[in-house]
Amino acid sequence: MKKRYAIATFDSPTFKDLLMKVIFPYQGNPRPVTTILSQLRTPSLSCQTAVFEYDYVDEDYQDEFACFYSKTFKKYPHRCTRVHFFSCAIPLKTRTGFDKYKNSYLGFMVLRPTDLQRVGRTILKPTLDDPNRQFINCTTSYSAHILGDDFRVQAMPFIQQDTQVGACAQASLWMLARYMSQRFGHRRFLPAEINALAKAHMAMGRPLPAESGLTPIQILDALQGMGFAAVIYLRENVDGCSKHIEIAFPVTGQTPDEQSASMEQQRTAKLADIAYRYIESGLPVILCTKDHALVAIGHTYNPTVVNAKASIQRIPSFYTNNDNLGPYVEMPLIRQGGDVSLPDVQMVISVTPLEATLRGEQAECMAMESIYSLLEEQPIPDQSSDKLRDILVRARPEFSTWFGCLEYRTYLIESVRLQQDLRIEISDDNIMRTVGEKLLVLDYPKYVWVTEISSSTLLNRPDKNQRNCLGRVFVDSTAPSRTAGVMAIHFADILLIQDRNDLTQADRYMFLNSTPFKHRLCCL
Amino acid sequence: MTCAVKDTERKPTQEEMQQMLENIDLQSFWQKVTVKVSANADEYERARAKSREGAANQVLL
Repeated sequence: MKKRYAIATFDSPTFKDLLMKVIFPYQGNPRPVTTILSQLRTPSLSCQTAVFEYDYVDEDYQDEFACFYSKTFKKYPHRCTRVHFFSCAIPLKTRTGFDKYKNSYLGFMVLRPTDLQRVGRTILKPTLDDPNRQFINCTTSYSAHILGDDFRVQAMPFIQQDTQVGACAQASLWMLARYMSQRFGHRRFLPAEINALAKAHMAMGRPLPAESGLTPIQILDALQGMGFAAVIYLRENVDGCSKHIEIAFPVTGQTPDEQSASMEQQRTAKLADIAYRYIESGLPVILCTKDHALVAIGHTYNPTVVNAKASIQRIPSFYTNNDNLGPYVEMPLIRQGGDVSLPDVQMVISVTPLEATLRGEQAECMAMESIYSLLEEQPIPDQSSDKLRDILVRARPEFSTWFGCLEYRTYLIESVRLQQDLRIEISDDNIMRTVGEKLLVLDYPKYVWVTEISSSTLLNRPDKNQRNCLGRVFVDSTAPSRTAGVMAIHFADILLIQDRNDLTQADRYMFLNSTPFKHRLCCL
Repeated sequence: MTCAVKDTERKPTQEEMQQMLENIDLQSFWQKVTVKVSANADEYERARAKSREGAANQVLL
């Protein structure tokens, strides 16, 4: 009759006893549980109390139960246990009034009463020790309730495959879709629906149980069915594209084996480069190894790389939600033995909101070519071979160093968010007011690709708030890929605002000393 | 005006810089950009098309 709760000091014998009762008989892969518990022990979370909420009605498990577990001969319970975690001590006799602990809320983990893989919907605060080098880009606000009190946490959802309604691919799709629905206001998709969407077009035997997994094409079908625009890049097919990566990661080696290894390293860098723009935009990317799918949601950052030629050289690893390992698991871009690393990744599936028809890799190309061509312009007619690059250096000699090795970082942003950021930049004096106001009043599409142009000396600062850029290019996210979709350039003191409907018309301004300025921090 | 900038190698003034920007022929500027962007778009499109074909034979568990 009454809602049942139990409170236990985290990691105490009572906690372990209570946890064992709901997590065992446990078969299958225990790694996600152990990862979650070890993350809760880290200094950044310092979990002190766990609140067990029994007979919890979990919408996702209800869906799995309805489509599969209710139809089996064995009787499965239809309710779950939800465990809430707090970073403060809560008196064990507390029965109501959890509200006063809301600032210490760390999130929750649902445990399903299934035979295998019990970790259900899990919403947990990320464990980050170094805010200057570690970024979980794909997080958004989730709420949970205990006796009517509202608890909020900024997180990326995690779930473990149950193997019956979903394998790793469905788990990855669920994580991506649940985040996107919360972040961008789409509807929520439940596990059985995701499985049905994946198998709607390509007959591969019975839909349930889902032990036989999904093909990448079925992942694309599911994403399209959920209203997301997704594309796929296979490792062996990226050799012709991403030329800028070939400068940063040239193929070297004397022997065929060395050259082959070097070529694989370049392909790894190209796949990482493609994925990075979406991750930086707060858009999860599905990474597939030869037999497993996981979701990339963040990255680490190295502010000590000298003369980087591509921004991916600054990214030592991605953070992933891997249903085999747990949430917020670091995946190095270079093989380091042990668990999965980026050289194991065979394909990248990137997703954008439907309204953004231009892909990030092409938006960045538009920005790079615009900057390159701008610097190569010869604006003094008739007699001069002076390029704009030389003239700008005469106006500002410090440009000389920065122009030597430009780095480009591209992300997609909602225009509303862009305008909010611009207003903050203006009020914080991060950008020259006149420039900021001209950019603020532009008519933007719903989403805009922004490419920041920077240089090693501007980015190599330990404090993320000190990292600067030399300018940025704003690209129309609905521009056809074989056009110049640039809406505005603010770079090296030049402001060019292009009329999207007439290529010959642009507002052109010179705002001396309006660059460099602070680059955008993700995860604001 | 613009010749003076070249002749003296001196620091150009804001007005001179502004005039130089006005001198840029936008039509031909964007045309050059579009040519390079198109070649790049073709490469990505080829990679995606081949990837769609290749992806049908893998199973993710």
